[in-house]
Amino acid sequence: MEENQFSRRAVDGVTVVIAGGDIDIASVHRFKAFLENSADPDGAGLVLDMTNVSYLDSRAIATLAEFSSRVRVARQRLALVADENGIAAKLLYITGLAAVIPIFSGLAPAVEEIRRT
Amino acid sequence: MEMNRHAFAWLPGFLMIAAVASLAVGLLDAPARPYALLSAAGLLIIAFVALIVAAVRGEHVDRYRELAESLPFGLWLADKAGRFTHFSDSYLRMLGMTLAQARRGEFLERMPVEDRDRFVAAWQRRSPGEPFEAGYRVTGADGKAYSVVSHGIALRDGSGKCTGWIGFSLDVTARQRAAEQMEFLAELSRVLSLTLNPAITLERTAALMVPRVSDWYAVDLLSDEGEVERVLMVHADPQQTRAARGLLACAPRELTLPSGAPLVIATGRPQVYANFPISAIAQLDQGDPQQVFLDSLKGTGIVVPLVARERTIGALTFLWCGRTRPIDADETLFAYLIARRVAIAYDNAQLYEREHQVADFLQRASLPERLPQLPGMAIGAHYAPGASEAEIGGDWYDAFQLPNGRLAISVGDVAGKGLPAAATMNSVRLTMRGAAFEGLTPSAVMTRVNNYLLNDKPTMVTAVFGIVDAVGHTFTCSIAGHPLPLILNGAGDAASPRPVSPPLGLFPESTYPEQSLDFGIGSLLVLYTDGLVEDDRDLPGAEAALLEVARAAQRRSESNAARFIAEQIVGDAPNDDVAVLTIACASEPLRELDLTLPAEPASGRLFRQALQRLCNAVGLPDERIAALQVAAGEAIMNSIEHAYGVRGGFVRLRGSLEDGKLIVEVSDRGRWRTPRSDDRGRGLEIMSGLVGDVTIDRSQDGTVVRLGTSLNGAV
Repeated sequence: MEENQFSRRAVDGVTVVIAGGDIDIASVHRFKAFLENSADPDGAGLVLDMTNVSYLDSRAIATLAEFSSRVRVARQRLALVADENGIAAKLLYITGLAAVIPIFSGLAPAVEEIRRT
Repeated sequence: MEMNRHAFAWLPGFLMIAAVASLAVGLLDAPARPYALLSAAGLLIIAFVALIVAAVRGEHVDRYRELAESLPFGLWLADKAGRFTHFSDSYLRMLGMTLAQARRGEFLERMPVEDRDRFVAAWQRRSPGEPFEAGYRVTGADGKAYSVVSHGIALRDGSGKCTGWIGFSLDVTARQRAAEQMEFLAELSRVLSLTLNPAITLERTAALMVPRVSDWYAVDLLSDEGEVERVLMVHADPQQTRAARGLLACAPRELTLPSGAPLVIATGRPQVYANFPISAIAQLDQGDPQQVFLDSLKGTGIVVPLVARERTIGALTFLWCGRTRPIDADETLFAYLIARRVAIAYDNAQLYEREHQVADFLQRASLPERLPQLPGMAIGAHYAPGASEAEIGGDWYDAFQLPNGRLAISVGDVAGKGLPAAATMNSVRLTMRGAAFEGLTPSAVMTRVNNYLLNDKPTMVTAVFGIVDAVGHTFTCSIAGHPLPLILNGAGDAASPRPVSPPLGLFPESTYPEQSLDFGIGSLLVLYTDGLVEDDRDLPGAEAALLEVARAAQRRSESNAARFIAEQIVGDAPNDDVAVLTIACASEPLRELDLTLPAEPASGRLFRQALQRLCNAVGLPDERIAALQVAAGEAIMNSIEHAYGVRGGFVRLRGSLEDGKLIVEVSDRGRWRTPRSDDRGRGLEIMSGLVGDVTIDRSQDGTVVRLGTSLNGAV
């Protein structure tokens, strides 16, 4: 599980990062590094699929917030895929990040959101 | 006529010598039973003697006698009533008796009572129709015990009537003694081979030496510091042993002492003492009340060096109280032969013990010091080294928690013994750990170990590696040529995972398929090495016994089921090494939780996993579990990061049901620290956002965060 916790693929020309499992103190640095390595300087942005994330803590939220702001500075966009009743969506709402990062419950609309730009 | 006489005179002598030679050969063949060797050859010569005596008579008998007298102990004659009338001079010389004394049967008084009874009974039973034969020991004029074999045959007149008896006594002392010595040395070698413990090695020699070899027996060893230490002293009489032990020197002995063991150890040469004060030879302490008693004793003794690998490592002392007869060359050689065997065995045991200690240390150091703690799971482990005093084996057990909270376990056995096996065991165990921490499945873990062994340590290893998922209630494992794990479900029904793959370290192409079995509430999992079931060589019986004992452990909810099972089956001293590991799943669903772990990042997941199981057990809806997990996770991480600073400490997680609510408490004994940065400040925000009921109690004694969530209805 640890080995394949983070992966990426391209869907319709848009980079999609797929995260799974627990994002906690033991894995947050890998999460951060993986997100940064996935960003294409010339791209329009990326999609982060958190559907299979089972746990995330305030550190993961902080990483996401920081990454989101850097994406914005680079004039790119970030879209999230998460189960709307899941823990990731819930945390994003609680912490107010939902207001700045669009959340979709399916992959296709998220990809479309980036392509639209 | 003259020629004929010569011929006749020559013939019996020749036959006599031939017969004695054949007897001697017979004795060599069966040294353990010399008295039984009144062989066909011996009887044949008697028959010839009788024939010749009957045929030639007169001066021919005298000629024959002359010849016979030259052999120890010559001829004897008796009348038809059984009264001895003649004994050879050589026999009388040995006894130091006159013919008159011997005729009165005084030689009988020189025999040990059991030999005398046997001899007299045989003599009384004699019948002219049968040859007479008897063996006995008799004390000579020189105080030595001689072993004699006596043959006789009835003399008959022309009409066939018995007119008397003729026979000869054969001195078999040397042969007898050689036979006894050979037997003793064989016995000594056997006893010495039974143990590899240096202390026991010496202790066991004591029981053999007295009284068979000497009255007193003592062992002195040269210590690493160069001092001579009396390590053992026994007397045939236990009371004397006690007295002697009371006299054992406490002070180190000087190597320059003029007699006894220190001298022998210093020079490496044996010393013989004749008619010498016992206390001086035995190196007893001065000034003891017993000293007077011992001083009054004189005796004869020999002290021989213990030499192994060209070093004198000590000395053996043999003493005979009250003996005046000096030690002869034969006894010196015998003492040498004993010392040689003892020295080699002791040295060997010492070398072995050193390796054994290192192997044992490595073995024990390799086994996990602490077993992981999982709420609702009782992990038991037991390891017992084989008591057959063979070398340490390569058996192991291991249990550790993976980063994802699951429990990884292994039990295995490295072929071979001693240090190499213990070292291989350790590397295999660590390879398994490393592979498991990377998240590999049991099957992949086994493949990695197989590759490691084939490339680095070509040794056969049998093992079971498995992962217990306490949340999903499964046990997934791979088996490499190892006895099958036993799983009892809550009802006590047995199951074993399959298939069994080949042992590790043999075939590069081996695969190790894994299988998952249910591991539900009340289950007991037993992993073990073959020493548990092969102790009495009745494998099916032992497996049935294991099943019974495992069920008993399950019924009794033994806190360490592994120890219970091992002790019930093989006791505390199994023949072979035994490693047993048990995982018992609590028979009741988890109702509460109380887990204390070190305040370190790795503990976070272990806490979450335990909490997950409690949430599942009490039936909290999934989305509420996730929220509670994240909220509790924030509190836990806060304690881990902020409570203790660099000092380190512990975090405690408690969970329980109160009025339809699940209450989770995270506590530490540290100082509340204000979070240093914004993102960490989010923790409190997250906790309150996810769980309706959050209280934080900060005091001098630490911080307690209390989270409550109702089992049903709204948050």
